[in-house]
Amino acid sequence: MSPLLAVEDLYVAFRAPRGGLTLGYRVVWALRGVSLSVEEGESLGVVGGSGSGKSTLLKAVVGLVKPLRGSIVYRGLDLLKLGWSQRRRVLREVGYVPQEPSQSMDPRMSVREIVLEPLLALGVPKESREHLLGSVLELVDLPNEVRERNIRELSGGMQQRVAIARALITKPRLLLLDEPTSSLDVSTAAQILNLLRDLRDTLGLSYVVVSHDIDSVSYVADRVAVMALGVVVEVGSTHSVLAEPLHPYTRVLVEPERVEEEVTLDPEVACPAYRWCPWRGDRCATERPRPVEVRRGHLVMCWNYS
Amino acid sequence: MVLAVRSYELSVGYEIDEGLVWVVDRLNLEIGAGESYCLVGESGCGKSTIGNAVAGLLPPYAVTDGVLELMGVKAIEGRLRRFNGLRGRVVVRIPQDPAASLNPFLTVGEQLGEVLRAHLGQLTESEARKRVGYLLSLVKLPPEVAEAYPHQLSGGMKQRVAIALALAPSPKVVVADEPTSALDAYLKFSIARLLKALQLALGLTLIFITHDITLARHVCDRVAVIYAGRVVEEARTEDLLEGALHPYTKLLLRAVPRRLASERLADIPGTPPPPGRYPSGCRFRPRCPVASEECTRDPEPAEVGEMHRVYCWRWRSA
Repeated sequence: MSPLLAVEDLYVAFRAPRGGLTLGYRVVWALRGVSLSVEEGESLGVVGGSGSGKSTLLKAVVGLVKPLRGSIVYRGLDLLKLGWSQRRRVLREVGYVPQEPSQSMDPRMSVREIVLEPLLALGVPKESREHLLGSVLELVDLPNEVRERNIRELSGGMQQRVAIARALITKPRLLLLDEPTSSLDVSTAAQILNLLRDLRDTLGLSYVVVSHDIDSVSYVADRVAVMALGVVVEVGSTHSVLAEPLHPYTRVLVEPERVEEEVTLDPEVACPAYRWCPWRGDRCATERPRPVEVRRGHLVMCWNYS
Repeated sequence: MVLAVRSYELSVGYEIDEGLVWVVDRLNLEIGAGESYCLVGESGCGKSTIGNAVAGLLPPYAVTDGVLELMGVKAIEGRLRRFNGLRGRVVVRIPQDPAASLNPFLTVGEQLGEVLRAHLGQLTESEARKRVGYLLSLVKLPPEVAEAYPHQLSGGMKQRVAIALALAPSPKVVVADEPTSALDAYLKFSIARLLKALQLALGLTLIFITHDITLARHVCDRVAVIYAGRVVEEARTEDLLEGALHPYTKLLLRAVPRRLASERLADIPGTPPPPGRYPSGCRFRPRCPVASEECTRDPEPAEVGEMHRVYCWRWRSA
């Protein structure tokens, strides 16, 4: 069976100002050859520290940033090779929930306008729009009264529900969620995580959930990928990765209390963990580790295992 | 034991259009010298206001009541606030957003030097440099950082510089207001560990404010859970994490995703009430699964174990 979404060897770079009083740009690589796939009905969690490229990965899939190399294949169609209008039609099946709900929505718009906006772009007739709005608000557990409310009047948890409703209105198969709980309080975050679990089970959705918190990702994800500086360093089933993390960086994320050294990631070296890794060898500095399947479906990019 | 921070019926309110709103309500704190104490709560519960009150950083339009003593000195007495000689000397605050608290036009060394001169009087150039190096070594930063401007540092390094700035006047009491909320999972832990190490090494009294109840385990001796401006439960960290008794604390602990546990997270219905719209009696009452008639009266503290206090009428049935 071919996967629902397959990202193959993806490279994304940004130009960043050199800083200070010098002119010109330097190139920052956000993704350096990322390959990941999501099966139909499966949920993938992407975990990593800030600057690991996890948000960029989602943005590349929905076309908000343009990759320099690689392919993004959704149900057999390479999104990067499709024309503009065709890609829009395909992406209708992919919902995107950006980070920070409050900043991704127009503060002057009502909940109704925000949630229905994707349908306007797709040219859905008015009668079916209203009908869809009602069913989607019910799915995310928002009362009907909020329809005409301004987005600024809602609490953070409700804003996040509106953002999820907006992503669901096109009836997607795949939902991309960027840090869905990072701006929320503990009890509100729990409500959103429970909602995501319920939606997955009732609608049979697939997720790609990005977060820096490995435990909240594991609550909704079947598989987890760990990223560091634009590279996937480990991927496997949630249970396998959390119970027996293999890569040194995954161990830092899973059990920070057991790490004594200062952890700094270095983009200049082939393996980002080279500076402090206890098992490093000469090879790690110069040659990029290839994925090794240590257990079934559990891959790690580390020379120590090959 | 000497108490570093003691408050008796301390209330803090803000004057807004609709009148006076009490954000912190009759708070009794007793924090010993050299202790690390954690204030845990959700946004809007008043934990930052408590932190600002202790650090002497309440805005002029804030209204206070009750008593706050710092190292035996009355800093707040009714509406009077006398923090001269205390603020920035005995008690300091580590800000939530380090990027906003550093001056982008000064190097780290210049900023630290400025604070040192303000507190120690004139220093020679080499003395100042030596002290700056010492402060940076305290927060585990290399001495070269002194030459860097804030924009050249990463988020974790900026937070370390902010901690070094706070420690420059050799304070006794440090209020850390969500020092880790802007950081990712590993940095969060490493900053928490650094604060704990500094607290032990320098004998500081640390008030650690966070919404992350599990982080308290790594930093604090004691924890107070705040809900709607009041303490609902106070205990030693282990006792609280293992044997919470207040219904709110229990639900809060069950709302945090646990490693490899698949049971459903606790849904606490509704949201915390905003200041000014607190219900009468127990403030958790409208959301509480075990609330009953008696909860309409203000809960009295129940001593349920050594240093374990619960503000709930129904803790036995929760």
